[in-house]
Amino acid sequence: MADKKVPCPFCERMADPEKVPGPGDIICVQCGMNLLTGLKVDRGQPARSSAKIPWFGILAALVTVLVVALVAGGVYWIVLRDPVERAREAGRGGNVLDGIEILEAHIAKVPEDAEAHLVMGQLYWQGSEFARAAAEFSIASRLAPQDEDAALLTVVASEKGKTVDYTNTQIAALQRLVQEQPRNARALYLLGLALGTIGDHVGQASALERALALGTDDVPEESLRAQLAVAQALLGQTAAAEEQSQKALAQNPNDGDVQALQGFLASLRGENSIATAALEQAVRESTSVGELAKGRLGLARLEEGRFDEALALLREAKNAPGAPPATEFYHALALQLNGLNEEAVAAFDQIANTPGKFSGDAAMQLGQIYLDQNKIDPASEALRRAQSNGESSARLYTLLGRMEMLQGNVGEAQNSFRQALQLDRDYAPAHLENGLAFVSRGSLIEGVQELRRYLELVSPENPGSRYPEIELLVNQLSEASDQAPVIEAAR
Amino acid sequence: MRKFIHHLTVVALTLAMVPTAWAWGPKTQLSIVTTAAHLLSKEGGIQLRQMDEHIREGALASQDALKEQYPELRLGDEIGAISGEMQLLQAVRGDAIDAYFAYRLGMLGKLVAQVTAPMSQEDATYRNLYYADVEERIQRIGLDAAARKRVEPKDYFTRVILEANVNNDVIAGEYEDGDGFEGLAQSSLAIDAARSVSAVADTWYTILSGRAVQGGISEEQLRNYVVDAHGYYIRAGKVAELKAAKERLAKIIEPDPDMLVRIGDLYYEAQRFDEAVAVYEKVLADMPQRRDVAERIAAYYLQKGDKALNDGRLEDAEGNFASALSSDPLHNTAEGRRLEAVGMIADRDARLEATRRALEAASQLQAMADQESLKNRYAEAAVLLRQSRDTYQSISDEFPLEYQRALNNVRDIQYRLQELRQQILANAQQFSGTGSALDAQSLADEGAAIFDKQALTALVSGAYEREMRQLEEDIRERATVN
Repeated sequence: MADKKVPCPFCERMADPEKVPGPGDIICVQCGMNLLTGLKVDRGQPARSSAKIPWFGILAALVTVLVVALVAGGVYWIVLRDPVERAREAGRGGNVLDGIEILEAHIAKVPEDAEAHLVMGQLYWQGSEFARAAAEFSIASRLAPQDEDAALLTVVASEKGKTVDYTNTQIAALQRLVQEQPRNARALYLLGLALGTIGDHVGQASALERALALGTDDVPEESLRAQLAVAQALLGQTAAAEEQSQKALAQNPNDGDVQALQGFLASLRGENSIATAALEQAVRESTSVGELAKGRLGLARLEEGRFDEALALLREAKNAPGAPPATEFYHALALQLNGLNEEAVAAFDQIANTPGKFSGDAAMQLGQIYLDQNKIDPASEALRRAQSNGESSARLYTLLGRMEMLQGNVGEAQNSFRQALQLDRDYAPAHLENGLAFVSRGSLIEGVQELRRYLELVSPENPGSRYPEIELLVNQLSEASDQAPVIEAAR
Repeated sequence: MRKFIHHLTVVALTLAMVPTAWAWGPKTQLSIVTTAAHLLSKEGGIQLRQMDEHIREGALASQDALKEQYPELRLGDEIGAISGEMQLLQAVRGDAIDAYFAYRLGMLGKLVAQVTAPMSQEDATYRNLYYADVEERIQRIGLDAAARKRVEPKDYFTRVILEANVNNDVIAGEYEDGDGFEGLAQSSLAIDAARSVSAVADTWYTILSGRAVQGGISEEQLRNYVVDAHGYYIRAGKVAELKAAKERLAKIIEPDPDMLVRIGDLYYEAQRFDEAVAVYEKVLADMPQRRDVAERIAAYYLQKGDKALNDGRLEDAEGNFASALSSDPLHNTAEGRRLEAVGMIADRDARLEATRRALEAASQLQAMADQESLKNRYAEAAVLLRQSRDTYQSISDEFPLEYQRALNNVRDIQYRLQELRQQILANAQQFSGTGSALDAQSLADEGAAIFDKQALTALVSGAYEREMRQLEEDIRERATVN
C-alpha cells in the first residue's frame, strides 16, 4: 500500500496519520493541527480558562463553539460525505491512490456500490492500470447494467488491458448494455463485432441485424451492412451476404474494405472473375485486408495459369506483416510453377519441416519437383516425409506411382495408381498416369481408355490440363492401336 | 501253239500299222526305199545321200497321203500313178534335186515298193502274216545289186508285179498249213526284197537320168507340184530350204494368183501368218478385185487384232483392225471392231491417266504426312499415310510400271506407319506429370477458401479494432475522474 499521508489544510504539509497519538485522529506533524477537530494540539501546555466575566472569554468561547461547530461541520463534511465523491476528489487532485484507498474502504463496506466501482475504475485508468480498471468497470456495469459508460468503459479498458479473457468481458458488458438499452445501435454494433471476433457469427449477425433494424445514424449503415454481410458469408448464407454487401457498396462505393468484401464473397461463391475484379479494385482503393486480397489474387492468377503475376502478388502478400501461413505455401507453389525450382525446393523444404496444415502438401510438392527432374532418391525422401506428415491421398499415391515408373517398375506403379483411384476415382492425374503406364506396356486400348477418362474429368479450357495435346495423343494412340493388325497382316 | 500266238500278235500289230491292204510293212517299205537310195548313190551315178532324210520322209508318208498325191490309186491304177509321177518328176527335175523332189522320190519309192511286193493280191490274213514276218526279218537280209534299167512303167511294172506274185499260192499255202514264214516265203524274201529295191532304184534312175520332158504334163500338174512343194517346206518349217528352192520352183511354173493364194493358204494353215499375208497382199496388189484374198487378209488381221486385244495390246489391235479394213473395206465387222479398239484405247488411256493421278495424289498425301510428322503431329501424319496407302492400294495391276511403283510405296508406308507408332508411344511419356498443374489449381482452389475465410475474419477484427479506437477516443474523458 502506498504512503497514507494526507495533506494538511492548515500548513499544507503532508500529515502522517500513523504518528498521531489517538485512533482516528489525524494530526499534522508539522503544525500540530488536528485535522479532524481543527484544533491545534499544544503538546507541552495545558489549556487555560478565565475568572472574570471576561467578555474576552465569552467571546473566545463563542468563537470556540463556533469553530468547533465549524470544525464539527467540517469533520462531518469530511468524514461523513460520499466516499466516492471523495475518491473522485482525490483523483481530481491527482491522488489516485488516496482515491483508490477511499474506495477500497468503501467498497469493502458497500461492495455493491456501482458508482464506487466505476470511480475505482476511473482511478485505475488514471493510474494506467487498465486491467484493474476493466475489472472495476465490469463490476460497475454488472451492478448497473443500465450505465452505458460502465459498459463501454469495460469494453475499452479490457481492450487496453488485454487480460486473458478480455473479449468475453467485453461481450458480457455489451450484452448487459444492449439488454438495458435495446435501442443502443452502437452497443449492438460493438457487440456484433465482438461476437464476430470470437467466431460467434450467429450472435454477430443477430446483433447487427438488430442494429440495422433500429435505423439510426449512430452507426453508419454501410458499416452495419458490410459486417452483417461478413457474418452471413461466414455462416454460409451467401445470397443474404451478397445482398447486404451490395447495399453497403451502393452506399459507399469507394470503400476499399467493402470492395474487398465483395471480392471475397464472390470468391466464396466461386465467381472467380468477379472476385478478381473486386479485389483488384479493393487493392487500388486501399483496404485493411490488402495482403489477403493480394494473396487471393495470386491464387486466382495461379488458377488462370498466369504464374508470373501470381508470383509477384504472392511475394507481396508473403512479405506483409501478419501474413497467414498459407501465403508462404502458395508463394512456394508460384515459384515452382514459374520454374524457379531451386527457390521452390528451399521454400517447400522449410514448410515441410514446420508442423502445420501445409507440411504434407509441401512435402508432396517437393517430391513432385524431384520427380520432374528425375531425381528419384530425393523424391522418395520427400514423399516419405509427406506420408509421415499424415498424407494418404490420391495425389500422394499418384506421385508414388510416378516414382515407380521412373524406376521402370510399371506393375508397382500401376498398383499405386489403382490405390489412388480407390481413394478418389475421379482424380484425373491418376487416370492420366495409369493410362501412360498402360501405353508403356503396349496395352494401347487400356491406355486410351484411361486417357479418355482423364479428358472427361478435366476442362478443355483449363490450360494446365493440356487437353488439346492429350486429346491428340489419344487420337494418335487410337490410330496406332488400329494400325497394328494392318501391319501384322502386311508381315 | 506258242508260235501261232506269236504270229497272231505280230499280225495284230502289223494290222495296226498297216490299216489298209497294201504291200510290205512300213519298215520293209522304208528299208527298200532307203536301200534303193543307197544303191543309186553307191553306183555313183546319182547322189541321193544328202537327200536321205527327205526320201525317208516320203517313204514314211501315210497311205492317205499317197492316195491324196496319186489320185489314180483310188481307181486301182497303181502303174498309172507310178507312170504319172515319173513323168511329173522328170518334168520338174531341173538340174538339182531339192528336198521336196527327194520327198516325192521317197513317196514314189514307197508306192513302187508296195506295188512290187509279193502277196499283194492274196488273202488279207496270209498276206498280213507274211508281211509281219518280213518286217521282223527285213533288216537281216542281204540284197543283191542289179544293174540299173530304165523303166517304161507299164511294161516294167507289169512284169515285176507278175514276178513278185509268182509264189503267192505257195506262200499262202504254207501259212495255211501252219508253216508260216519257214518255207518259201523265207527263202524267197531276199529275191523279193531285191526286186522291190531294184524297182525303186530303176524308177528313180529313170527319172533322174533321163532327159527332162515336160510334154504330157499339164500346167495343173505343174502348179500342183509347185504348190505342194511350198506346202511341204512350209509345213516342215523349212523356210531356208524353201527360199533356196523358190527360184527353182518358179522355173517350173511361174506362180499365178491362184497358186499364190494356195501358197498363202499353206502359210496361213501353218500359222505363218505374216508370210501368208505377204503372199495375199501381193495377189491383192495385182488383182484388187480378188475379194477372197481380201477377205483372207482381213480375216488374218482381224484374228491378229483379236489376239492383240486379248493380250491387251490395244494399239496393235486397232492397227490390225485398221489393216483388216484397209484390206477389205467392205468387211462388215472390221470397222466396228476397230472403233471398239479405239474406244478401249481411250478407256485405257483414261484409266492410265486416273492411275497416274492416283499415284500423284497418294504421293502428295505422303509428303503431307511427312510435314505433319516433322511438327510432331503424329496422329495427322498417320491418317495421311493411311489415306496415301489406301490410294496406292486402289491402283490395279493393269499398268505394271505404275502398279510396281504403288507396291513399293505401300511397303514404304507400312514401315513409316510402324515408325510413327513407335514415335507416338515414345511421345506419350512426356505427358507424365501433367496432372501437377491440375494439382496446383486444386491447391489454389483450397487456398482460396482459406484466404476468403481469413479475410472475412480479418474484416471483422479490423472493424472491431477501429471501433475500439474510436470508442476510446469518444469515452476517454469519462474514463477518468478528471
